[in-house]
Amino acid sequence: MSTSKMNPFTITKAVDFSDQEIRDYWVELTNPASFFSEIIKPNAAMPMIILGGKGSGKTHIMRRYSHQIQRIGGSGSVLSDIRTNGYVGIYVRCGGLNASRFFQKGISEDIWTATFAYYMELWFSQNILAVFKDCIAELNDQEQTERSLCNEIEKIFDIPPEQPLSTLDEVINYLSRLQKSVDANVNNAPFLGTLNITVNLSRGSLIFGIPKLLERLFNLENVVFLYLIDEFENLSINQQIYINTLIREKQEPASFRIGARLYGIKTSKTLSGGEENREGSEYESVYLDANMRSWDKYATFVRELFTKRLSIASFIHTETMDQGSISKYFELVDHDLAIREMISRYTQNDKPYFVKLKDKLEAALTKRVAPGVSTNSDIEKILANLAFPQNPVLEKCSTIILYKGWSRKQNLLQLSVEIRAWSAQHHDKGDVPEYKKILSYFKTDLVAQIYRECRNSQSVGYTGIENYITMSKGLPRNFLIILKHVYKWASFNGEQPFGNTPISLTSQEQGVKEAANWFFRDAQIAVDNNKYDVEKSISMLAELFKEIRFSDKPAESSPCAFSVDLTTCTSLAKSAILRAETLSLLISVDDGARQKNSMRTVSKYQINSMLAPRWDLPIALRGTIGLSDDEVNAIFDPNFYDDFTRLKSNRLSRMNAPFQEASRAIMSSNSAMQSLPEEQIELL
Amino acid sequence: MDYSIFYKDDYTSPDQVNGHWDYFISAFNSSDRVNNVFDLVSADIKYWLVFPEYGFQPEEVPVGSHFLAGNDEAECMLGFLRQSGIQAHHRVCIDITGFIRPHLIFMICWLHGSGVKTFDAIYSEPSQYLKKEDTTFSDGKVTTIRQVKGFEGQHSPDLSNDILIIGSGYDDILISQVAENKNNAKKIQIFGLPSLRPEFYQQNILRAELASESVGRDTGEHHNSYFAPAYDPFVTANVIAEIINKERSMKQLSNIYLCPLATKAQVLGFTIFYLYELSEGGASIIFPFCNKYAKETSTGVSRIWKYTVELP
Repeated sequence: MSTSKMNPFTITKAVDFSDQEIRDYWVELTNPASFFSEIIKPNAAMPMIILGGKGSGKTHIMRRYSHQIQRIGGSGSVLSDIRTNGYVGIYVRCGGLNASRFFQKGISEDIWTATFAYYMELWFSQNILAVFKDCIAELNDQEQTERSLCNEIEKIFDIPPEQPLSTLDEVINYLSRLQKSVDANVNNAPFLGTLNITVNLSRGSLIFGIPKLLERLFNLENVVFLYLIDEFENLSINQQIYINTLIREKQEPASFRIGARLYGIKTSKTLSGGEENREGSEYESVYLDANMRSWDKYATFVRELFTKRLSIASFIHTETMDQGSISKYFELVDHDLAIREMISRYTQNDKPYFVKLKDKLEAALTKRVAPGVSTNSDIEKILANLAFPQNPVLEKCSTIILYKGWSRKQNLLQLSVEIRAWSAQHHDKGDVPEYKKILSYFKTDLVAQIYRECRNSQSVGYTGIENYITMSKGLPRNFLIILKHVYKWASFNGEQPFGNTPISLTSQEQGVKEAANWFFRDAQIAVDNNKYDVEKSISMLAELFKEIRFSDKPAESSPCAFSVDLTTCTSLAKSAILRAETLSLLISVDDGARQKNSMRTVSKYQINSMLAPRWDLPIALRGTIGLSDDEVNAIFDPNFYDDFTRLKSNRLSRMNAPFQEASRAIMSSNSAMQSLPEEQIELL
Repeated sequence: MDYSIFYKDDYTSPDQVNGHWDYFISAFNSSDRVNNVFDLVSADIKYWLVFPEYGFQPEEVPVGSHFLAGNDEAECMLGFLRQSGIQAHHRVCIDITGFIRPHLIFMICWLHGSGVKTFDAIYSEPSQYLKKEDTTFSDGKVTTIRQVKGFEGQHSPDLSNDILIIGSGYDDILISQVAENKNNAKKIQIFGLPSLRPEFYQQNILRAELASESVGRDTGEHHNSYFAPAYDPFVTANVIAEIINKERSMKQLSNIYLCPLATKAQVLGFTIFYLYELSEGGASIIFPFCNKYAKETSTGVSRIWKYTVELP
């Protein structure tokens, strides 16, 4: 393979695809039924709000169900295809409306709301008529039906057009002229302070009226006219209220699928007597990325995305590859072997974890805070007892057991003697519970600590396709972006990605780190008027997790999640946490449970695994750190940011030798400790 | 139209700026390059405008300064312009150096609407930006991305061939934000080259690269990157014309969006081009609005430019 080939993962956004490419790059798993059809339910009359994080695939899915894409590869008869499908999708982007101009300029909100509603009627109806302009020639009685349709549309207007409309082109041009007249008025409003617009339609009259006419005149019984309204977050509250009202007052055969970012829904109010739309009653909701995360075939799905990209870019000549074949494209690391090589460069006394332990014991000896250690000779004995040269990971494990004993004020010299026997036994039989537990739950952290202590710049756990899938967290775009950067670095490093040689660990690492940095930066792009600083909060949280992970006695294995009581932290902290969730910086650990039981007070969140390489955090969820209210507020509420360093130091002092703060904390039972969750106190 | 036929002169110090005007308007900030020009330019009436986004207190600004107030660029500028006394026949000079971009764009629209046929614009180049490529010009969060008032166009519901032309400056987050706001549009970037100082171009590219994921397809490929002198509004207008003509030659454009994020000289070029060629169609100038801007972002004065702008 040649590196001059185009990066198959260059395009990561559906908006950058042409209609044909939307279809070509589509991956559908149809066993037992189409996953995406089950989600979007195009034939259902019930409106739906499709919520998803950036990169969850909303746009790709909504465009895929639009008429523009459906007609590609159709039978040649648009009308019969629509009848067969049972729906026709009219895709509308709210971004194109430039909706923010319907605001202020000395005009009252009520007038803007009415103007916007009128504008939407004109805008949507041009879109739907453009679809049917395509297929009018298929009618046997085209001229008569077209004239009837135009006559009926004319009647919808309170003030009919000056000239009769007899073709669809004339209707579309008429609507366009009306729309441009509104545009001109809106544009001149800052100068004139007034709008001179005659609204000659009632709410929904075209949006619902035209589908009814088309159903009757084009013989489209049982066809759903599906308005696919994307980028809903671009509308203001009042504008969303208007769309909500259309959803509430929906008239068949029209229905709606609304696509929005997780933070995109600003209100559920309507103009219908102040009523609010209720989920299950007026609409259904779908949380796309949560669905993806809980989908048992998600990994298969993204692997097929991968294969399809390689196939289209001619790297391979098949559209199906098994997991093993895909894995071969990426070099994998044997950490045990790598650690042996790393440690072999040191003498027994210079091994970094022993040097660190020795330094801590010597400092503690001076302060008399190392139980059972009275002389430097004791320290040498302890280190000798912990030595197990043939297995560095076991040695590292032994240091952790010693640190744990230290935190419990055990006699360290005596403990080291026991450790000596345990490590030998575990090496031979693998049956020492303490070692089993640590190596079972903390091995990745131990390995990460050894890498770090040996000043090896390589991170742990971010290479290989399976890790990329885990990191993408239900957002397929993240998966593609990792691969895009990995490919880029591999090419830059002179490799031939997806050729005969696997992509090197170095290139993978560089690519993953760049993807992580992009993801963090990308969250800053979302426009936000609020007073909190979500990026700063995530940085503080990640820093805390990192220091816990690399502490002498980590409280939790693989810390990358926390639990929080959202009812007791400050409202600003709560808002910041929820905002971080909508930006996908935090992932609710059990999305499903949260939706089913909104009364639950303790919530759990994981830092998005895409960010893990930025802070050397694990990608797999294991340990959950219980944060006190004080800590949550210090991390997420700007009014308490100054407390963070102190609180972090307090917490870490319980995990790092000589564990003095922990002892004091236990003795004093101060308020911060009282607020600690149970599992934390138990670990002490 | 060839915009390069418009006159421009450059000077090495403010006292060389020749001409006398009925009205001279400048935006107050802490920069020497703005204050020196204000003091030395010859005009019957001089206005210091104080933009709320800079956060100046009354005691920090010269006596007689006009504090602008309003919800947006139109309200701010109309509050001043309607009582400024400026009429179509007056000779007007604007020091655009310290202006906030959307306000400058709107003011030019107002001058055009008021029948002003020509005005002079002064732009002073900095010697250096304070933190090189890490200099941030907006000093707060972007609160909204929207069209500049008066430049809102008459857009088409057909979004299939939209283009967004970004005058890409140092602030990569702003580039990303506008690119994401018009995410379906084909994005074309104009970079300042020649730049104001030789090193500015490299700094500019380093920052703009961070926005490449948002800018999307074909990023970095030659045909989506154009270059116009950072100090020349007229060549900038020509480059925009070249881009649009080229794009139109390939397919009918549905909507056109312009977003000038780079130097004020280029902002002037974007505005002139819009007024000449885009004001009747589906085209807008969009901008990411912030509540706060840095009071000073540069040191020293390099060249001073005077552009004589003729309006359609």
